[in-house]
Amino acid sequence: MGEQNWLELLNSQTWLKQVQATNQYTEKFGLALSEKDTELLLAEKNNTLKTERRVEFGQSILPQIIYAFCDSSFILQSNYVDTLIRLQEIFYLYKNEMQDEITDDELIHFMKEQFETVCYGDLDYLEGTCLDIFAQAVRAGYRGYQKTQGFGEFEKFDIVQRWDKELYLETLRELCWR
Amino acid sequence: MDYQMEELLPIVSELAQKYAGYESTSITYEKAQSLMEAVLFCLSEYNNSAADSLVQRDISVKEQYNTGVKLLSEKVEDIRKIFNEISFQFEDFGVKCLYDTVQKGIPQFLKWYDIKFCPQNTILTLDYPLLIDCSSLTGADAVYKYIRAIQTEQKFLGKFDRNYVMLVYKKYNSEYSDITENICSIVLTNIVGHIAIKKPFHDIDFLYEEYLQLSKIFAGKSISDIENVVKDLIKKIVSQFYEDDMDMLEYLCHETNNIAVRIYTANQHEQLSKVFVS
Repeated sequence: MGEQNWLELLNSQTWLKQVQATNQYTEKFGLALSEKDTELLLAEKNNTLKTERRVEFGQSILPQIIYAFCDSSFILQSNYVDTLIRLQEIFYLYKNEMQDEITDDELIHFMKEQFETVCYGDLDYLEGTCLDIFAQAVRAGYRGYQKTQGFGEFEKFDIVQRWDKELYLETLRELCWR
Repeated sequence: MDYQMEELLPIVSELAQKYAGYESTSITYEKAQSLMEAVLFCLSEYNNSAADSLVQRDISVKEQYNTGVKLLSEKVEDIRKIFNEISFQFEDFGVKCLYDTVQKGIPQFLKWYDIKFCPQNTILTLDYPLLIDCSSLTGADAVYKYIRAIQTEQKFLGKFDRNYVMLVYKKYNSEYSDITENICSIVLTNIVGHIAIKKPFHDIDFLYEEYLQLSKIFAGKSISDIENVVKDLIKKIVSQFYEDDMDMLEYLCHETNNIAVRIYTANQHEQLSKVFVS
């Protein structure tokens, strides 16, 4: 039996059920996945796994992503499926980029925190800046996230001055007096 | 060994989860491949141990795998025991490669060998050459065969005075400490010469007449004829000095062809002094 076949076999049928079951929880945030959406997500997940040359055993990561991100104010029913597809892609990409040094939970905590507080829902910024900087640190041997479970990590590596009251007033002053 | 993929996947899946410490739902293709190889390695361990009492053909694949892991652990334990046994009186005869491979390498193997997640990894390059070929084996199988061969070699060389072995080796190559050649092979060849003309071992250095005598014995013979003569001489050596140790006989007989070719070629060019050095 070829190498690819057995790897594909691992993407079991239980996946669809697991993802459908998340609707019960996400409904209170106004989010739900139809059967068609779930099938699309499954297809996208398989594509991403192939692209990233990874294989899932048993439980899938998507339900965890859904439970972590469903309360975000940046996710609406209209962009729900697309956001999940992108989050899945980013997740697997950075599992590889961080050389599997980080656990699923730690990575999801980090992603969610930055998605809410630094990126304000911008997935490109999450992927291209926040995770990129953090992955460099992890590859260089940083392991501080093991203590914090991935929370409050980005500020240690952030090279950009973020908006606070002082910066806001200073910018306002500059704009008004120009 | 013929297993269905659906029989193997649950085992690989469980192993992958253990590998990831139940903290990751996915692993890379390379790691999955390596874990599949680990499972197949343990299953082959089970299948190759047909004579062992633990082996029963009517058990599930999972049980076969578990038995394979158990057999592998026992094999590693055997390696440890053999290593400890030979370490007591280990003699490297000043050959760096032998010392490094056995005295430095085997402890590292025992330290780092991973029965569960990567049993197929030999870890060591096993540089010191043997009379047998272990290249088709990997993991503990290779190291087990290797250390058993080293044990046989140590037993073989242990019967001779250290100075005699060193003398033969030095005459063979003055820079002996840096060469990567099997000591046993060189000494055995020389001993074959002694036995062939009934020359005592303590009577070192072959005389011109003795070379002529040796030349006469092997003259006009084909390589396979010489091989048979050498085999008989080795049998004599083993029965006389090693109480008919069959393992040793089998091991030393792996060299008969090489010795025969060397004798044949040297005799053709009247260079037997290059083969029977002392």
